[in-house]
Amino acid sequence: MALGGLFGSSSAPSNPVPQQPKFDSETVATILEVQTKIQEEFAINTAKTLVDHATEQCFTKCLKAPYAVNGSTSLAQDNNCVESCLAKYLRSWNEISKTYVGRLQQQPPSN
Amino acid sequence: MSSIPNQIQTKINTISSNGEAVAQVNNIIQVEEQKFQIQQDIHNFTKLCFNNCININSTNILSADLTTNESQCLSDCVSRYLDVNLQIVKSLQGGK
Repeated sequence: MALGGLFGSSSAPSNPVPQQPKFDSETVATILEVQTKIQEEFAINTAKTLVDHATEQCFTKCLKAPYAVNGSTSLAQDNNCVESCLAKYLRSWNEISKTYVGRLQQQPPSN
Repeated sequence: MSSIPNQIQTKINTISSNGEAVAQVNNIIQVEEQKFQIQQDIHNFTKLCFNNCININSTNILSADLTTNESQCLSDCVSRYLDVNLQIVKSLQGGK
């Protein structure tokens, strides 16, 4: 599962409706439109979760109280940490995705 | 996404007289919900395991790459979590 798909950047729906003669072209267009909208809706929710979690993790790992900007914790240094923390977070997401999906394919989820 | 946004529901309503089309849409929703749920699982695992496996401090903030140890820890973290999950389900089912 690539991160590109996370933000819905893929141009085509991942499960295109096969050409079925039982639907007229207008119905097929509607189904495809609904599919795209649903995928967008989920992609937005997924991206929000990523931003929330990464912010929480990187805030906790990179900043220390007191959170004054002009104190010894300079903003530039904090930003550097946040940048690399986010990069690490995205790589972690991919690593965990690989392991989890691999395991799901071995055995179906128990719940 | 527990409920379908109005904008999408309105679209679905325009094909509501076509039972097969509605079935197709419901199938699409089910597939997308499954994919979404798996991604949410991955988000939760990442949050948990990142916190436990990734050590960022003042001497170690610049590397954006994961070290071998970090990658291994993340992968093991998910695997062990799922092991515990399975064991708990089994225990609650009275297997042990």
